[in-house]
Amino acid sequence: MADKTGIDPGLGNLAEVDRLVHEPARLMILMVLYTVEFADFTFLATITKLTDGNLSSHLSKLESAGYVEIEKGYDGKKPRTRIRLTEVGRKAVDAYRTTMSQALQHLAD
Amino acid sequence: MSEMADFRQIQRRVFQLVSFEDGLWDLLLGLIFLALAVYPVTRELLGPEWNIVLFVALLLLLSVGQLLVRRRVSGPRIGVAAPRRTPKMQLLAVITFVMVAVTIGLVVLTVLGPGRDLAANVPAEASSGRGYLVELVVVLVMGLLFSAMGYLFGVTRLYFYGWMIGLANLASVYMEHNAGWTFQIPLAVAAGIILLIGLVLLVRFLRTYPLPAEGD
Repeated sequence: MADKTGIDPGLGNLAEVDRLVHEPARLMILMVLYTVEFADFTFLATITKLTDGNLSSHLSKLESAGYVEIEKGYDGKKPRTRIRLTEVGRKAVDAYRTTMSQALQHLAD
Repeated sequence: MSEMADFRQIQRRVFQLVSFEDGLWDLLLGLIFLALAVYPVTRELLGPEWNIVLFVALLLLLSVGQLLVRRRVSGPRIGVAAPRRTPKMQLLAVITFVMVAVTIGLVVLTVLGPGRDLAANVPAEASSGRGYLVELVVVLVMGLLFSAMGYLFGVTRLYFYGWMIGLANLASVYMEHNAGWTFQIPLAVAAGIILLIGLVLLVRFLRTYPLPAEGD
């Protein structure tokens, strides 16, 4: 395929990149969740500086794909939303890192 | 490797937000060292055994208090997150806990020192042969420990804290032995500086992260 298109094989991997992960706001969310056991909605909003609506929308997409798990509960009387990365989500982030790392290495050459 | 650096940056930012952004950690540290600064004074008043009980009780109270305040004040403002417990992070936590415990133990040891001759109300001589070896070890341990924490968590003021506390402890013990100062003034000054920084950070935190409006 690389011969026909003339695209460097490393860069060709970019076509395979997971677009769900690749979107900047979702990538930020996933990178934060990658480093924590769990985070609540407020923490994600604080660290990503996304608006509540924007964050909520991206979390819905990630939850639909099975990348994150959203647990709604109560802390006493106050509603609480905890988010954690699933194993599927963790593997997706790892795969994304590998793809980008290979593509960027080829660029450097 | 740039994406590795980004993950490390994010991990650091998570730690900073969770532990260091609100100034409560600094306030706790400052209060602990202020308690150590007055330790020789309360020892004279209460006796060694009750003084240790008081110190341990105060330590527990301050630690629990900090957790409660963080839950009621910081949590609603910036949210809650639990840093991931990788084997490396767990090992780091164990090493940090051991070094903090050893350091506080060494500082208590230097504060316990030969103390004052209660009958004559004069400071006893430093133990012969000991010199200030323990205090110098404390300077090194505190400096290196806090510098390592500063590097790992990306909190630059920690570099300053470690060396300041270590040197203040050395100065306090020297002044107790040579000038009869019971109240460890240099250590109290260092604690006061940390408390002031913690207070400034807390005020800044409360202004930067207001409580979300009801219904959010």
